[in-house]
Amino acid sequence: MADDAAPVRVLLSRHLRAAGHEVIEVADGMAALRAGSEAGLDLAVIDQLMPGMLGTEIIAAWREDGLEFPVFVLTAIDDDDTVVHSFELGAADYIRKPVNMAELTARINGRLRDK
Amino acid sequence: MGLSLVSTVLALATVVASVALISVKLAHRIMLKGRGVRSAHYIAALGEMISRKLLPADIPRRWAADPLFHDAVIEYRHLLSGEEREFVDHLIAEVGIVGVLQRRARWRWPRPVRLRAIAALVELAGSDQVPFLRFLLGDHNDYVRSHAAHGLARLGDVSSIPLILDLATRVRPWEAARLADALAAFDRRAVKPINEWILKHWDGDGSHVETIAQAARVLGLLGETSAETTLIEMLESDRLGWKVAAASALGRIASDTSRGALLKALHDDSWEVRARAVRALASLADGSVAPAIAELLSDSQWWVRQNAAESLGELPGGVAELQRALSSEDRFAADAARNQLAELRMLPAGTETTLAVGSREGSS
Repeated sequence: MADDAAPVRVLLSRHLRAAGHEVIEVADGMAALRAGSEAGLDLAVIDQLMPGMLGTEIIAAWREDGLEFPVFVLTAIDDDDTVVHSFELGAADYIRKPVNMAELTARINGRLRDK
Repeated sequence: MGLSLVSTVLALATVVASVALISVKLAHRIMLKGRGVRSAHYIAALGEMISRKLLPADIPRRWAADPLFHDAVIEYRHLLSGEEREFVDHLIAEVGIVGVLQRRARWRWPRPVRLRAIAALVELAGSDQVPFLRFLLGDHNDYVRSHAAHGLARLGDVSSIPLILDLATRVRPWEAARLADALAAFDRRAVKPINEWILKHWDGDGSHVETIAQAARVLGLLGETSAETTLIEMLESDRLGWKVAAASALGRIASDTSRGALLKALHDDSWEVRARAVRALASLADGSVAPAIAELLSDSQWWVRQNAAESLGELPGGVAELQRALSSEDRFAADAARNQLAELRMLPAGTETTLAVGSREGSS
């Protein structure tokens, strides 16, 4: 779970932990990149605009390293080009803020069940 | 003796200044740390409450007065939708934050406190705060007035639109532009009241001229075709500011209805109008206007030629017009076409590029 906004990390990680998942929280792009490479993730939820790296840059770097876990992009950016670019890079979903946390958790659960 | 005394005093002063500086820095660091800890505490506490949808009966009353708590609530409110958003709104009401902000937004508080309160109030106010936000439109502080307008826009109170436009006629251009930006934050329901306000003041005294131009800009931003009749009338008026604003707005709306008026505006006496009209026509994506636009590659003003070339680069059939202009006897037209084709990477191999600057009239 990578987002520089603390409320997102606090609330989403609470929902995910309540659903039985183990959650790693990071607040910047470089930490997210490292976590993806080193922690053996099943799924990542990343913000598009973070200090250090853009979400799309992180997805591109993971894919280049052969890391194929699903990535959900969670962002306030409502720009069609960014959405398309995210999916082209292999994002599993693109969710715009404001967000319904229960629905997002259900989507994540569904994706992990399908894996 | 005298020299030694001066040295001692200087040394002492240096020590005192150093100690004072270190103390101030330390105090500042402790304060920042305290703020960070408090902020993290609020975010964690709110996260707990929201995820459990549980509002404890014993929330400390001082939280409602703490700007850091307000910031945390605003962050959660921006983040969430659905039931959790409703819970945040319930929490805002129960804790009494809006009442605190309303008191602090009044004039008797120090300026920084007021400004911070009004910024938070705009984010957290409910529809019951409309009368207070309208009251703040009459404040002596321009920041407060424009924030109040943004707050009314966030609440979607369209009946405030004439008040905001009236205010825009009485303030400096910078603030009038900010008030117009607030109008753009309304949805398309704002088009009708803005349109009516323009028509009401169309023949009024000169004090409404600039605001009508700003209102036209907003109509373009809202992109509603029902505003076209008014905008076309503005384009055909004899006021330069209105014509320029209307041409740009019609370009944003991009409807076929405005094609005739925009084609006519290509021959306007003012180059500012021709320059906007030629860009507005490009947004219609209608290749039939390309020949008329191509004529402006020979315009007397660089800006118009540049815009005509850019528009041709975007229109169906426009590239053919640019290629035709390459062999024009008019060097200005050929240069504008050549540069645009180079920009599009469609310049025939071996064709020399030049920078088409300057004006035939020597005053662009």
